[in-house]
Amino acid sequence: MEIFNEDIVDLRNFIESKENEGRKVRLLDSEDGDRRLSTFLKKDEASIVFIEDTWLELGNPKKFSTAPVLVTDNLDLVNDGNVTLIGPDISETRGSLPFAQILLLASDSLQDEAYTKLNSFQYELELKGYMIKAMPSSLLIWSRVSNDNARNGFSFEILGKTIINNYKSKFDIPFVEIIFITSSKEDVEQLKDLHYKVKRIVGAMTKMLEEMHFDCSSCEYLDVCGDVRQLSALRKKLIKKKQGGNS
Amino acid sequence: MRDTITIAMCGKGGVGKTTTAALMVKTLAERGDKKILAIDADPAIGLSYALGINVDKTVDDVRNNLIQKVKEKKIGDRDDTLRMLDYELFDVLVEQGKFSLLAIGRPEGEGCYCEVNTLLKDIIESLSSNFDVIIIDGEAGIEQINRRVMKIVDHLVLVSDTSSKGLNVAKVIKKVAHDNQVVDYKSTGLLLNRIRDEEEVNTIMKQQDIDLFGWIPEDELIREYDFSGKSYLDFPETSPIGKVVQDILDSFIINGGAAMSG
Repeated sequence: MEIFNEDIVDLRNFIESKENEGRKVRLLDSEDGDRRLSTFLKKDEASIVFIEDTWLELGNPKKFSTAPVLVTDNLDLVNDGNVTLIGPDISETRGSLPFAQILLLASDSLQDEAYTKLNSFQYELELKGYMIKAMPSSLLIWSRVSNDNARNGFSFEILGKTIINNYKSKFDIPFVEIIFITSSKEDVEQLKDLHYKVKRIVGAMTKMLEEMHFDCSSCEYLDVCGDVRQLSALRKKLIKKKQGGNS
Repeated sequence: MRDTITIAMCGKGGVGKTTTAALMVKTLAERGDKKILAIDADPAIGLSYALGINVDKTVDDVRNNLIQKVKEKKIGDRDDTLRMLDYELFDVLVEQGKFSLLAIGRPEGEGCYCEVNTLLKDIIESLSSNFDVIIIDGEAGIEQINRRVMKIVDHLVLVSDTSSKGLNVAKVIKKVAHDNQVVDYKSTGLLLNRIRDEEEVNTIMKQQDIDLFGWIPEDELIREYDFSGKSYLDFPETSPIGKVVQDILDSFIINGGAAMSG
């Protein structure tokens, strides 16, 4: 999949520009990070983190949030295992923050058709004291970290590594990287172009995979399929598959 | 999983369901030891108003949004739809610290959207399981019971004033809930409102085939709160109605719903 290659390059430039603007950009990789992952594995308890028990809320619906998943078959574009944070970590702030969670996945064996599943899988998290609400097709993410979690050292490193491990074990993806942005509303909103592009692609792919009508003349995603070469290719592939199935 | 207790107010319009529900929420919120969910199932969103909450989104808005998406074929698979509903429903939930409120808005409309309504009911049920006590302010009349909106209710409170119309509606609700088995309840009983004295209660109860949960005397303060639109969260604890509500709640939460002697 090459659809997002340019976006990944743009994202690297964005991170560099934020660093140049003086934002705190960190690679989170502590010595005991991996060991502490198990501390937060979910046990039987309520799935909601109420506002009164919340240390930090990320991406409230009243604020912009985004959670795009960028997939590539170019392994050089993704730094496997990296968890990057732009902005404050969980223990360093509290209240409500705008939020971006960007996943980069690289594999030379992934089928395009798997994309919508890869997009929504990031929300299948089983972490104690971390509530996640999401609208996968709209790339909206809204989560809360409980007071107990913050006190017990829950961090973006733990969150990021858990998500990375989940993808590796479920989809056998060799290169997984994650970037979190909590620095400011302006920084997160600068990702709006990427957000809307990915959202349109997710919408177009979902429609192709679900409907299989292939009547392009009346399709609302005609523009994005025209712009993104790989979507046309996916469409042709699906038509071929369908015709093969019908014969 | 919590052992959630669900208490629903039913009855004719204007008999005091909303006031009772609001005072139950206030009482439990002040006790502070339970997670409380107030469900405003009255299309006029009276409970929200009585609790001083401005509702800008209801479950009905979520339902309509989804129906629109279904019509425009803009939804993904079932998992995606469930996540979307879960997100939007949590956004409808108003968290007030001591309690949370969910406004239902208009009742389910006509049309072939059973799947949408089923998904919503499932998500509301799942959300409800995070609370210790759920207080439902029902729609006036019998319709909501008939539509099986309140399928599982522990304590069905039939609120009525002294009018024969009010008492008749209470009787019909109990009959439908019981005979047609449309509500699984542990206890059901009357809460008589705007009562002059105990003798009036005795006279009414002689003609009823329903248990009595309690009775509320006529109260000028209620009239004042209703008139001025004050939030019932500020209602004085020491008022006679406050005591009645506390006793009823204790009977539900501590004693499992034992009715008062009439």
